[in-house]
Amino acid sequence: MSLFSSKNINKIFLSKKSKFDIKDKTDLILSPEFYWVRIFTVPVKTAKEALEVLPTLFEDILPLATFSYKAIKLSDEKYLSFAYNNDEILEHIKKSNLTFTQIGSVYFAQTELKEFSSFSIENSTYTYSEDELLLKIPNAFIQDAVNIEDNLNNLSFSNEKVDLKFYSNILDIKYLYKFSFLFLLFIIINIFRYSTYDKNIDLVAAKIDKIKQSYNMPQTMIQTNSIINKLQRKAKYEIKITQAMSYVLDFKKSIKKGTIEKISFKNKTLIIDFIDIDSSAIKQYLQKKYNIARNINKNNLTRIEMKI
Amino acid sequence: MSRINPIYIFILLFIITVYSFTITSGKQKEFEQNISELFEFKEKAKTFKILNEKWNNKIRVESIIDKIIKNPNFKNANIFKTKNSKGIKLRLNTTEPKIIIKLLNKILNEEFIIKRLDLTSSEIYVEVGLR
Repeated sequence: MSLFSSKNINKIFLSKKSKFDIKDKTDLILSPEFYWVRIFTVPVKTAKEALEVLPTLFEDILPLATFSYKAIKLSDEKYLSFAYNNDEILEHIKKSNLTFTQIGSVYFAQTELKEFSSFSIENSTYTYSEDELLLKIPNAFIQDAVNIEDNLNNLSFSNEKVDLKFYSNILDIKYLYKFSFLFLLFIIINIFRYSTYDKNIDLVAAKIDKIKQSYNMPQTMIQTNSIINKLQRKAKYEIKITQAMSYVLDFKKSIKKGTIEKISFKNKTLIIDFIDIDSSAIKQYLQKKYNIARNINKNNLTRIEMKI
Repeated sequence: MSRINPIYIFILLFIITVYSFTITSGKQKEFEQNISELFEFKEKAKTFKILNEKWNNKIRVESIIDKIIKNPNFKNANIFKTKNSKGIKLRLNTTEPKIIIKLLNKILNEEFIIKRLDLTSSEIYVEVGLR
């Protein structure tokens, strides 16, 4: 199917000696030089089925090369059969100064110029034989052949286009399509994976928000970390106070003589008043674990202040 | 008829495939990172909850103090409790030093914010902070 409209497209006749200076989109009529044409009787019902046997039928006629084939049904079991060298046509398209992108549709002259029994173009003469096959003949054979150079644009084309493979000579088209299909499959799978991940990322964010709400947490992690650090410092400090108190109260395990008169804790300072105690012994005991900020000895009273 | 070179379509699809793998793998990494952040966040939230309930919960502190006061050990002791917005104050005067030590041990064994403590053989005064 043509991707572009065929209206107002140039129509040109391509022979092996053609040279063009055209930039517009162009439909091509292939000179008989580019193909072999025969009428074969093949016991099949469709042109598609006939196409399968054409390589065998053309085998004895064609030179050694790779050919493409086309079959047009004429009547029951009778097929107008073409063989053409795709690469050779492409080569001559290039030689004629045309580019592949400006080529619209391609037709065989055999099927498109039937209204002229014989004609001339580019100083060559062509005629339809008795069995209606178009042949190139020497100019001298027919003197009054119609020059169709100026009439080409008025032609109405048939539906029998040549399926010219413009790019198939680089890689096998079948593999290209298979790989392209595989790529397309990967792309679809990846789109699905991407959207699933995206959805799950949103779910994770929603879950975090839910936890924040249920635990009454602040909105940012900086705030959360700050509160956690503050509470951890608080917990550590309170444990330190408890341990210090316990250590002070356990002084009897090391020092037999003396009692505690008073313990006071305020503004991070622990003040202990001892009565009748060996001052240096209690200092030594407490200094094992804590720094003594102040020490007062008065009569039988020993006061020790420790910063916790 | 082939108007667009199939190789161009093949190359385009190949590029899109490579690109789709790149962005999907980026998204996958983002998702994995989010999951590990979620686990990390859950741990942090758990820590936050425990710490907050222990050290930032007025109701919990007051209920524990009330339980201590109602403890059978202090049935005959007159523990005075006063409360303001900053904290709870406890005062006990007694001729039995053992009761004082028992109350001190009870308070030190709980997770309280001790703002002030005065202790003699006949009196204990404690200020427990509420936050």
